Amino acid sequence: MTVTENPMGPAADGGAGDAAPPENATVMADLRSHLRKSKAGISGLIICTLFALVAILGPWLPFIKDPAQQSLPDKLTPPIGWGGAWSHPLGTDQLGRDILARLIDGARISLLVSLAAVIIAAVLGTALGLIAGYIGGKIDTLIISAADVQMAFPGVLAGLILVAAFGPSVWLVIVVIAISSWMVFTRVGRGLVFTLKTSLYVEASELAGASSRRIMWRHLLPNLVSSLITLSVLELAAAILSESAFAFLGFGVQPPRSSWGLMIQEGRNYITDGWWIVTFAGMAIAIVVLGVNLLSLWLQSFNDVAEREQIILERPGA
Amino acid sequence: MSTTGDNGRTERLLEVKDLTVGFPTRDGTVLGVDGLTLNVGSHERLGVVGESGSGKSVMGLAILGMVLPPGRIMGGSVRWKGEDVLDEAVANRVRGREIAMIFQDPMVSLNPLKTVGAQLRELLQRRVGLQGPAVRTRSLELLDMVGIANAPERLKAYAYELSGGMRQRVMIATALACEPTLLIADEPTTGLDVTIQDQILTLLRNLSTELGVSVLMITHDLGVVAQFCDRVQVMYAGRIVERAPIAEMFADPQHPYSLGLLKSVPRVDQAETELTGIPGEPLDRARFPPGCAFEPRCVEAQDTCQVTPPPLVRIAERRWVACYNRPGAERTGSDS
Amino acid sequence: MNEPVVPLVESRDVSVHFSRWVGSRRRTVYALDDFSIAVAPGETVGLVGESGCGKSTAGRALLGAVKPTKGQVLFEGKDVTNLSRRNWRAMRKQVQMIFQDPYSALNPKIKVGESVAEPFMVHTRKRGKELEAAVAELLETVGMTASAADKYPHAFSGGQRQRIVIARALALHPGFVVADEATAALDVSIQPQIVNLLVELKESVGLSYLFISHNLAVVRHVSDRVAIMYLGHLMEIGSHHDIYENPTHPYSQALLSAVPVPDPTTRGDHEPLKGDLPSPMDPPKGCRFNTRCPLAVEQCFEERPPLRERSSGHLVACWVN
Repeated sequence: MTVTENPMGPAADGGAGDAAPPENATVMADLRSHLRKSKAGISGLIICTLFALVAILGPWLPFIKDPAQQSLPDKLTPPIGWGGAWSHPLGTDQLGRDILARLIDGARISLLVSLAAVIIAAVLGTALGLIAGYIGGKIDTLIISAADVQMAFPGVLAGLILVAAFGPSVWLVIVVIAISSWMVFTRVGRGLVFTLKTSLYVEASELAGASSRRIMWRHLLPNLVSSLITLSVLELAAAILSESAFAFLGFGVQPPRSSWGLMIQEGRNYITDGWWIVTFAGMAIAIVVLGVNLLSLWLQSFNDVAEREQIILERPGA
Repeated sequence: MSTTGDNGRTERLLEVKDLTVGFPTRDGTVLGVDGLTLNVGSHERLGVVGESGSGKSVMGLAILGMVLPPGRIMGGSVRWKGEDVLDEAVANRVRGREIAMIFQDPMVSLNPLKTVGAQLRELLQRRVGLQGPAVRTRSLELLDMVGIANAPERLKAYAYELSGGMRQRVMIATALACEPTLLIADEPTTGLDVTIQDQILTLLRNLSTELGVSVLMITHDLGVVAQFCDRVQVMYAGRIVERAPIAEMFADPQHPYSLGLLKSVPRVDQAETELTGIPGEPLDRARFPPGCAFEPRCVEAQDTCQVTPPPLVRIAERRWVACYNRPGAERTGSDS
Repeated sequence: MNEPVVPLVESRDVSVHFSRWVGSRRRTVYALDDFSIAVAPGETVGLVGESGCGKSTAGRALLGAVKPTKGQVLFEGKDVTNLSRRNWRAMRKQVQMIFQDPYSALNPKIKVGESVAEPFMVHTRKRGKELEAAVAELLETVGMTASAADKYPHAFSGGQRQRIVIARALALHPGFVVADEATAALDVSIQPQIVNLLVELKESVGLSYLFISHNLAVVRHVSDRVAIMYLGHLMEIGSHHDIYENPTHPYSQALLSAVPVPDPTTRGDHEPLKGDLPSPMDPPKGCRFNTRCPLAVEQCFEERPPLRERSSGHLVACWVN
């Protein structure tokens, strides 16, 4: 009465299970079959893949112009359908730069900044969460207080202070976004560790004399991964938005490089003459954030289902 | 008092015939219950014994027409006093009224947000149609019946405030509120402490005798069956493999699986018992052998066992076995 | 407790109290009180009782996994109650534990081989091929094939997982193993496989067990001596014969008669023990069994009965019987 793989081992020899399919293969198969059933999941995955491909391949894509090349005679050319031509499919901005090329360039920045920030936050936050949850005591109090303070502290303000001190740069934006989201991983990781550390395999490992480091690294962390990946994807959506916001405020990447947030900032002065600048950049942000959110939602539902089936599968009892 | 059988001395209450419950999976449909036949007579205590995955709990729910989706009843009939329980209208009338059910975990059927009294009141007003002070009188009577001391106080309690044994008593009280004729008890004492299990079993035994309620006891515990039931059916992999009156089952088990089960439990009243157990692992439902499901673990297995599952046949008065290795099996005759 | 040999493991008047939040109040749980027991080399001592009787806490206290609030734990005659961290690690090799729930005793994310290898990786320099060979040998000792090492726990049934858990416990050749409800979560037909394996290993590897269980029948089957506990107190301890043929404490008697025997010819009318188990947060004064005891007299409500020897090695804590 179960849905996923169920290799209970062969019957007769009273000992070994021989015929279990390799775990990764079945997980991937489950993932695929679950994905086929979820329209939202497929849409999310398509949007995210396109976004990533465009960002990575951007400069090598054919017919894409140099995003920094200005051409004042062509300034504020409307997109195709509103009087534009194929030379600038999405039109040009106030300096005659190609909008499409700038969107693609912006995708690179967006992906770079948000990915880097989320990776830093996830690694740092998870490590702190593991330590807080497993070691407990004063260390836990310290870490969790810091997380609470960070929770209450507005990230934009932190950004402003840092920009004031060091001047605007992409790296600074990464750091600011990372320090405004690590505590999410800490909190979630710590909560999971609280339940995991009471499990018998952790007790068995402690009884075997294993060090705390070993228990955290080999026993606890692998059991956190699937939840934290889901969380990372969700945080990625937030990071993309943050990056745009910081660029809009002028803290991040500086012209002539482009960023979606920056395009909106520059374009808003021309909103009456060149509505397309703001519109396409805004749409890019909205679509990507939507795609990432759909993907994370689906991952989450897959995790829940996998967990549920695991329980049905593994527990004896009717 | 409790003799059912081919002579038909007592009234047949529940007749289940060829009941089949399937669960769709990626590898095709898995049968949770496969062609199950079972009868419960009035004043009878029938035991259904099986291990995990035997389908005994699925059976208990399917009898009331309740199968958790995506599972569904694929065939067979369930008749209650001649009426078809698989018909939704009949089921709604019978379920919880004439046939009540209790579970291993009382929290399943008790509402955590309402007091014991409120739950009993609701039940008595809606299902039984009692009104006014009669509701309280009956509630107290029910709690008293299940051996709950200090009943007026307990009416105000929430389920989580009660001990495990006390919750089980409350659940029995709610099951008895509509004066059922049959009580399906699914592992009612599993997970309780030994002395509490003893209390609950004794209570169920006394109630079934005093109120004339038949009991269908679903359990994995041979001790519970031996001490409680009149007749027993052994289930393996969704099928009945043996059916016998209680004394004969324990004195002279016929199916190799029944025999193996009896050799798996040590006895507290005997100094030296040899435990042979059953070799192999519990059946993997996803890889159902075409023949007898017990064949891979059976010490007596032959080639014929791998081809088709052996039918349940009568080998003596009121004794049925599904095994090719039992000679003298009469292949005719009606079900007991 | 007058064993001629030095006991392998011994507890002397060990009490374990811990505090727990109940709603908004901090309450003390009296898990174990003045618990004294000794396990001789090669002996199996059964520890029986109902929920909340402190049997698991007692087992963990003997392993040093729970620090006693009071009392001493001795290993081979040496006091190990307050060992330094390093000495404690050395002792870890000698004592091990088998758990009730084989489903949570193995980390689902790491391969069986690594779970079994963990004690070696922590305590020895075995690596690579040598480690693999050691793991394979252990798996074969418990009736598994060596190929099991490359699979994840989900590929195995409950009984197989329990074998793997036993293999891990045996890795460093411990002398003393606490089996905490080792068969309770398994199917009836699988339980004998594990019980018989434990009995065989006792002979072949030379183990002593503290066999913790609520199942009196299984305990009778495996134990040399049996101890019966109720709400943190030891009620009766004696040989296998003393406890099952001549139970003396009213609780032991009630507990034994409450077990449903898988034999319909033994059906008889016995009066079940009345009442519920009191909470270990609020244990009764005097004898802890006094709220349910059919024989209780005034003294039972005033003073805790000491364990007194009735015959050689048979000790009972009761004022009346």
